Amino acid sequence: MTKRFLATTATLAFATALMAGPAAAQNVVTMNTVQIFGTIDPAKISDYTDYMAAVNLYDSLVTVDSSGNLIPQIAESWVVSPDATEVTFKLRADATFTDGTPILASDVVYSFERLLRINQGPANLFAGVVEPGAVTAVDDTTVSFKLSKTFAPFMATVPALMIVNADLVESNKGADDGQTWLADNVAGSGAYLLDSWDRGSQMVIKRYADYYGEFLENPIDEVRWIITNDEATVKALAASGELTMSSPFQSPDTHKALVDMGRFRMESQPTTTAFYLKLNSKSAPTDDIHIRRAIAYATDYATIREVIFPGEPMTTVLPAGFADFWNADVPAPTFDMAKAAEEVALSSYAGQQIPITLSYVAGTLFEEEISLLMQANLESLGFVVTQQPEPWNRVTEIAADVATTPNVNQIFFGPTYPSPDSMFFTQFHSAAAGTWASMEWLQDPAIDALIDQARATGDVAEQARLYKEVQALMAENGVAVPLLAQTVQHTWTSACRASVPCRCSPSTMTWCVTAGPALDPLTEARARQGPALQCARASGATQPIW
Amino acid sequence: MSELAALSNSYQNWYRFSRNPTAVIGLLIVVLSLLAALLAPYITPFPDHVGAIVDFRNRHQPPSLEHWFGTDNVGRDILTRVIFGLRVSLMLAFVVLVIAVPFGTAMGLLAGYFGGWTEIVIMRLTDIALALPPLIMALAVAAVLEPSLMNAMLAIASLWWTWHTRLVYSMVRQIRALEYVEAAETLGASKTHILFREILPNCVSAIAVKTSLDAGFVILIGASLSFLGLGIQPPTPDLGTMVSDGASFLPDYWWESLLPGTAILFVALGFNLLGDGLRDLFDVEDVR
Repeated sequence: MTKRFLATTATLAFATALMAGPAAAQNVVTMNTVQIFGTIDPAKISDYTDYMAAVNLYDSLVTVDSSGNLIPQIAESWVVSPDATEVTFKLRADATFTDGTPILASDVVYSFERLLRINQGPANLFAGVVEPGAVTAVDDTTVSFKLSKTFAPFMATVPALMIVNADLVESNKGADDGQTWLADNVAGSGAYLLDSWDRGSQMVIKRYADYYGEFLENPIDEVRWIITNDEATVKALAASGELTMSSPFQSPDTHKALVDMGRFRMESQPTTTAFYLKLNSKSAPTDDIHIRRAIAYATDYATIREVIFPGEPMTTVLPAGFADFWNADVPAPTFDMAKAAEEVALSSYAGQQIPITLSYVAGTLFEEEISLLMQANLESLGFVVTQQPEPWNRVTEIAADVATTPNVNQIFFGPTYPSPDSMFFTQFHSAAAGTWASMEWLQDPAIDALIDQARATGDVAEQARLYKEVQALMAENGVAVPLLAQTVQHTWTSACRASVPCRCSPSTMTWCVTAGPALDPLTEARARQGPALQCARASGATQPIW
Repeated sequence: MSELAALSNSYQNWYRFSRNPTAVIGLLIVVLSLLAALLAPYITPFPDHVGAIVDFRNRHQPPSLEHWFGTDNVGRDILTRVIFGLRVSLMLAFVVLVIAVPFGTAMGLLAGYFGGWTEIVIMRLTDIALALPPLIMALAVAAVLEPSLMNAMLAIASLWWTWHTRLVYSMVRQIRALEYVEAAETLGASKTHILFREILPNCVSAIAVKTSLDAGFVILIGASLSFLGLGIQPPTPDLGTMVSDGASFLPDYWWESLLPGTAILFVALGFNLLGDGLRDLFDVEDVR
């Protein structure tokens, strides 16, 4: 086994070396992912690796460009009815699946119905918004979505609906709606074809030359994903020349080590993924607002951002990347131990030892570092700290009950669709209580009402006003301490960088490898639909941020 | 006369022991580790680095005169934490053995002496327990109960006794047929007397050897478990966790993983050498 692995590694390294030569016309990118590809069935995809594969193998009606704008993909245009309850897409006449057959409106209907039937992956984005039967084929190239209510972020969720080849899936349907077949096979129209997939170790996709869409100049011909989350292995792969690109989720030390090798350069991308301390507002001592404020003052934001985990300052519960909705008037939280001591003195727990639990994801080194930093500061204020490292799957369990939710929780949350609604509704609305994204147990009717109003209106200015008010209220109640907006660091070889044109955007939450039109949206897909869904399902072995 | 004999006997033993260099080295290592663990707060350079201390300006410092083993990812002195980490390792070995050895010995005595159904029940139980790898059992128990190092170690103790049962059982089977046991029976000695005064003393040396060897293995298993994430609550230092945390900084900050790893090796080796030495000394066969 080991021998074979070594042999494979050697062969790969050799092959990569050959391809990197000037004679090689092939543009091969080898990168590592920190977790396995769970599934490539577009009705079941949920986490970052799933999406990364699926967006390259399947196309959607629309996709997102690197600035976060919706752009046509299978659909060439779309019309939204005046009351915003019906969207009609016009499909490209030349769009074809990778087996050469044209993409018809009936394929869209089939894909949507199948998604709802299986009811996994992105299905929850449409739950209660588009009912079964509400998507209809008007003619071969026109498809209509009827919404059961006004839902402002609807268009943003459309890229999550990837279109499958209805005839192909039907002929391999089996007893489970093609789930078994689509778990290993592709019935899509993406710019890349699945070349090989060894579930535990790697996946290779190759460019589909007859893709109906356009490739950028000098596109990537082949992408090899090597699955490992071990920092030492990533460094070893990089040193051996096998790796052209690291996953964005390596530790800052690993990125630095790669850069020090000389062949790699690092790029940082700000994202709209927020990192919070979520304070359980219903259990002692964090039920006291002064204790919550003391914790916010006792947080050393600069050290966390600059030394422990790279990020941009975050002043409100909404990352500043949501420029139109971000409330600039909310003062930034500050690190001030004197003020923290004053707040403790004002609290009902003043003058006693205050037991408090700090929870973080077990095995996540930087979270442990932050937790130790918090412990050092809090203990000097008279808190008695219990560290509670929990595997990620346990976090999702203990978040379900207010009694088992620890006092302080380190949680990453990124928008699952490009709307501030994703940040507010999923985290701070009472409907979200009992999920890992909502460990504050806020349950504040005033905030619920504001979020509901923002969801129901199509007026962006009004939405911005409402969301800014929510941010002010959240700063007031202090249940979520905004630590930072994640900066994604990503390292790649200079050679690769030079040959691969890249479009990046500040609003996307991760790196972008762009070459073909399909590799580009993987960034977007991750920013839009991937991370939070994935967070909910990520195993304990991987980190919730991805 | 008998005191003199006892004295000269123990002197002889010590003489033979001290002629065996590996045994002496083992003993030295074990004594040194025990002393270091006991006196940790007094001999370590930065005893406060065991608690809630972070010093991010001094993170990842290589070994130096100030920090002999370097510093870890939050700037704590690794030497200090290794010495305190010994406490956890030794404590685990103690917990497991203090449960497993007396219980296993008692079971072995019963099975070996009484035979019949007692023997069948006990020995088949040990067969079952021996079929389960202790590490897997520990992980399973940790998954069902609260995932803590202590639960995992209790799970290991619940399997470990069987080794002692088998060892004592086989010895009792031989000893009970010896004439002095028969003599005691003929004289009407009680079963308790025979078991604990006639048979057990003749098993003690083998048990001692086995226990000493076990201590090394248990420390290794404890370190493996904490390496796999069943460590003790931070910031309390624990060797396996230190190796695991440090591994993500390999090879650049090698000291963070390698030196705690060496400490594990050192202690486990010490107990093994001591056990081997004792085995040579007592001339016990078939222990392991």
